[in-house]
Amino acid sequence: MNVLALLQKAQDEAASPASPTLEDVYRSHAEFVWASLSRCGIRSGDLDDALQEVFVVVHRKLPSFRGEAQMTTWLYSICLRVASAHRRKTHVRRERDALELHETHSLAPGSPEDDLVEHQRRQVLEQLLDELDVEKRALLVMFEIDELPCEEIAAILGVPIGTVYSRLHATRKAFGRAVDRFRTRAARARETGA
Amino acid sequence: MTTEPIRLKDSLDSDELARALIGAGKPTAVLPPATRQRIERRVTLLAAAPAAALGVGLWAKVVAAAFGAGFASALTLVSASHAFRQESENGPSSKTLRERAPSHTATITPAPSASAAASAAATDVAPPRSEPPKPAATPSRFASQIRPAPEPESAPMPAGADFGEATNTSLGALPSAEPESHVSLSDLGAGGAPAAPVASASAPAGMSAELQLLHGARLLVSSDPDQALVLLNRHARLFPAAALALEREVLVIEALQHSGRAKEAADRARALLATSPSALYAARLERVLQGH
Repeated sequence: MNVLALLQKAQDEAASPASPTLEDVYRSHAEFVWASLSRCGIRSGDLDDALQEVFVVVHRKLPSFRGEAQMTTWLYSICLRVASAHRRKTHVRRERDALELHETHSLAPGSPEDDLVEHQRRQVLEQLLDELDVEKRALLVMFEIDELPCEEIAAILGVPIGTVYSRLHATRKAFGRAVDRFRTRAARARETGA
Repeated sequence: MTTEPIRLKDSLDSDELARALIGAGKPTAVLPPATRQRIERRVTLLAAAPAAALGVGLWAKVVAAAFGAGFASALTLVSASHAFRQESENGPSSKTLRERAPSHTATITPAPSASAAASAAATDVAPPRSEPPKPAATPSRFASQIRPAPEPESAPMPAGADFGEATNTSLGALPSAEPESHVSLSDLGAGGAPAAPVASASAPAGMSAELQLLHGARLLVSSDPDQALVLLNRHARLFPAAALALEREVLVIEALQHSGRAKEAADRARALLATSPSALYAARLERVLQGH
């Protein structure tokens, strides 16, 4: 996922006199939009529709995009909005969770025991990530899981790198609280189960 | 770069559980090439839609975009009610149908296996601007109250693109506010004709209005049930005694369930099962009742 290269490309496009068409934007940035939506917590079964939805918005707003922000920053903000709207319809997510986790489970390598532990962890992780707001969720995934450099994240968000650090700090705190809540829930479940 | 915060999984003083959980996370998957191409086709259709038609709500346009590619499929689909039901049951297949769209004229021809219903619908399809089922909803009646039909924006385009544009324009108005439902109908009647004589010859105005409402509702029933209900209410108002009223009621029930009104959904499902115990819908209704 070479976002820096994409950014460069977007910059070149912005510098050229002809403004990009909808198809140009799609060809250059479909991967980025897809990854961003996924980081925002949209499950694979809904990603197609969400991707299309983002480009419907792009189609409408492209004439007013003046290139003040990076194309990726602009697209990212659209992704956040689409994902937030999507999240409000939580039933869509729940419907697919079981199926999807099953899929990832069957794909995981290792012994059945490791496999199961890994599967359970991933399941809990998804659940906890979904407790964060979409922005924090995406930031956490970008930094902690996809391991993007902060510089690249700053370029995507369109903010100074210092802002990325402070947001990361807040995001980890929020995640830490989600982990604590999970711990409490688990302990309570053990008590009632015992 | 050296000032980068240490990642949780590399940090020894971080919460052990948090570290383990993050460590289990899989890197974000990349866009599969097949999906990339599929959505690219939709985006290309979308790009052909006039910007003027896009002044309405987001979902309207999503549906419109879907129709740009899939409306012809929907015609075939609804004409064979069996296929219609199947598609609703296997949610994702609606996407498959959308993808199948590239050759509109080919899709409109009913499949040889289609039932009597299909041939009936095919007859309806033949005349360019046949009357809709209910006289109350004839486009001509509304035509007098409406803004002029949208002008085609460009010189002749391939039939497929024209078709997408015409459908976009008309559909765009569908889910909007009450008074505009008139507009949508007139657009359906007039919008297709000047822009695409070829397309409108195979997409009759009255029929398409009804099918578009139902098909739009079906696309939204799980993702945006409230909007689906708006479309279904409109359908009920414009086509109270439509042949597809039963399908409409089943969709209403499903939309109610998805929007969290499970009790209402279950009550209506039971009522419908009692009055129309059609095997065709029983499975879907029972699913609603189980979910309750």
